[in-house]
Amino acid sequence: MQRILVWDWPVRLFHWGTVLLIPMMWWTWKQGNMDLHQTLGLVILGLLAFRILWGVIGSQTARFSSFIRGPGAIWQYLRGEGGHVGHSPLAALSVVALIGVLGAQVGFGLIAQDTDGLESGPLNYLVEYDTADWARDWHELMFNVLLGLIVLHLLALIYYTFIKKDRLVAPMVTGKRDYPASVAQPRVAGSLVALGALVAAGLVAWWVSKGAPLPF
Amino acid sequence: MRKSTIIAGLTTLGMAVAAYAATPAQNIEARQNGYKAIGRAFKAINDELKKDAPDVALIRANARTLDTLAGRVPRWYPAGTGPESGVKTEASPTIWTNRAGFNTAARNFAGATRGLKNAANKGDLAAIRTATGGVGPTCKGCHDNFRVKQ
Repeated sequence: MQRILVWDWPVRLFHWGTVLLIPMMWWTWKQGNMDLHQTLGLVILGLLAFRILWGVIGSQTARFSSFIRGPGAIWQYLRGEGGHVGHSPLAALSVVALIGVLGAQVGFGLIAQDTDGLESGPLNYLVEYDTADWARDWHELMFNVLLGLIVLHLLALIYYTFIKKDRLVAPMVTGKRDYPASVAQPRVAGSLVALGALVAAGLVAWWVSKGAPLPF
Repeated sequence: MRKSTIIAGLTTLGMAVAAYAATPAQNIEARQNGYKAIGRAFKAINDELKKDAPDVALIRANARTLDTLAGRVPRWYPAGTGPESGVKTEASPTIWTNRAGFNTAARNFAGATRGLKNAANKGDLAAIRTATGGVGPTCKGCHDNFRVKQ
């Protein structure tokens, strides 16, 4: 057996960042603290931008092209055939759904407004009044969809941990996992590249917070 | 009696009957449309103020609309148009049990929109900004006490 770095720090940062921020988004909304809700929403936007960028230029297990597979691979996986390091072909569906729904959620929030017309996302000024009302309804609905996906995610975690005896939490914390010696270490991208991607993603979130002004 | 007077009299009577005969559902729909119009006008002003060179004429037109509608708010709540009507509405029963409080809240709103309209008429952007900032809390002042969130 050998220890392999399966989740690099950008993947873990995104994962635990959203774990922390999603309940805080709910809580700030519940408290009516919309200033903080918006700030944290922009942090999530930055994390999403970072994760999507990292899914293209990042470490092997973080890349969408390495873990998004077709129905054939999913079927193979369900029958217990074919090995993988990182997301399984089935888990890939969950990753795509979670990132997609979270992205839609952020998008609706950016243009939404409250019924008082007092609180609105930084891009609300770009859309019509009725579009912003529509976005608010979807922002509410999409949160429940997100909760559903999170419940599914946790149920899968419980199934793997207790039924299949496959401990998945520790590797998401430390990044490392034991594999047979025959398995090769997936390529890990440099931390400096990750830092650059993080700064770029932060700039995107900052630009959106300013109302996404065009440079011309 | 002259014919035109009779026609005018009948028309007025007809309008009065129509208003009287409006169902709670029609009343509620009309006031919801009224609030949407308020929201659109207020948003148009806020959006304009975000621009580098706000169009004062556009702000003025919307400030007038806003002020006209704000003055009508107390009349949008005839008896029987609360949740007891069975129609979906966020209007709180408190509007009818604490009418004086509701009217005060509505007057605060109308006062703020009057201030915004005056500032817009003068065309002073700094005053418009201050006045616009004063309108929001009066919306909230009423919503907090007289609206039931669904």
